Amino acid sequence: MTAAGIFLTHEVSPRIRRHFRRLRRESGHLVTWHFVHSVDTGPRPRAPFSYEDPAEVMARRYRETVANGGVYGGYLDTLFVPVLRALPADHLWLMEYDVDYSGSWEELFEEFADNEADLLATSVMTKAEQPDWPWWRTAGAPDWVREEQLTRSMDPLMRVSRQLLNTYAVAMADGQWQGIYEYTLATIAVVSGAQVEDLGNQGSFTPPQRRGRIYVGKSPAGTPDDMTFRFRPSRRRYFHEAPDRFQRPHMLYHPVKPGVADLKNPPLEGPSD
Amino acid sequence: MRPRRFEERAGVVAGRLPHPTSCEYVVSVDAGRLRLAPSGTPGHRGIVLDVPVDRVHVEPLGRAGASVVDVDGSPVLVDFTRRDRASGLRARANALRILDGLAGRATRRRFRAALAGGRT
Repeated sequence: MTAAGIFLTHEVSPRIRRHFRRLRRESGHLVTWHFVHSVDTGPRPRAPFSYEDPAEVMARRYRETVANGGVYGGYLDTLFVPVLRALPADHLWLMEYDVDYSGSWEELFEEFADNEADLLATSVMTKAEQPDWPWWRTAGAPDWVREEQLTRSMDPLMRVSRQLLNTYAVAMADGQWQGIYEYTLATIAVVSGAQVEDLGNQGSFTPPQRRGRIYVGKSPAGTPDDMTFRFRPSRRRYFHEAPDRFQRPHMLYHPVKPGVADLKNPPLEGPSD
Repeated sequence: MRPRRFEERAGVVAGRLPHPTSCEYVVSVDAGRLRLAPSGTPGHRGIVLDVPVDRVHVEPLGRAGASVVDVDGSPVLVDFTRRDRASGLRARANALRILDGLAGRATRRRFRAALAGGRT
């Protein structure tokens, strides 16, 4: 299996560049990483390779993204689907600049090198497991989708298979799919029969061997006090800058915003974690 | 007259143009609905797309088995042309390519007829 990925950032600074260089130095032999700069709120980031126009790949969703005023607020799929599908690999990672790991990135990506899941994400839960997630209010699905199939995830770090990426882009032609992509992607993966796994917290999507090993975040059991992966508050220094501030070793952390202001909360005033 | 049921495998990809991410799905038209299912799913339990044919507009693309299927204003390329046999001697490969193109075109014709027959 081959893997490629994009490191997605809306800010560029020497600190963020150093963070990317550490990622590539420690895991570049496992994942071919590309630095992708989202220069504005639109779905056409600056990438070191060519990709198709999002208006052609996901026409309906693109129109809704434009009406929304850009990708913030749940429409990042319009950006990452065309970009990721330009990469010739079996599995495709998306990592936002504010994700960090309190160890060598090599050990994290080595963990998943032979994993065949179609979707790896964080905080993967069904609607029944987290009925109070605020984004359910905007979630729409075709009438053949069953209530128990409704699933959400949190995707600052995620991996999709090439097949799921195609399935998702085709499925999203149906205008009855509405809402934040962290819901549409996870739910379309479930209804299409794809293999969905949580990267490694607690919960029904986490395989037993990874339970509690990769990060601490929201789960069906609730909201722990010592979450390493969450919506807010932000940390201000990366692991390579201040390793002593990352209390738990060998864990994913989010968000880390080095000199970057927090984005305003999305329109629903709710955390997406 | 009850419209005939249609079910065939096709390469499917979002957009109007062929792309390496294209996957094989089972494409079916039945009871007034167009359905796509992953071809590797046992019993086709997974569903990628399931929409009333009234929301579908189809245009043939090229001379073989490809069509652009427009669902709610989003184009999806559906290609019934087999593309896995054209190897070996050039003359034989060309002959197979022509035969596969003709077979794909015939399948496309049945597909369009099934969609048209399923409209209310």
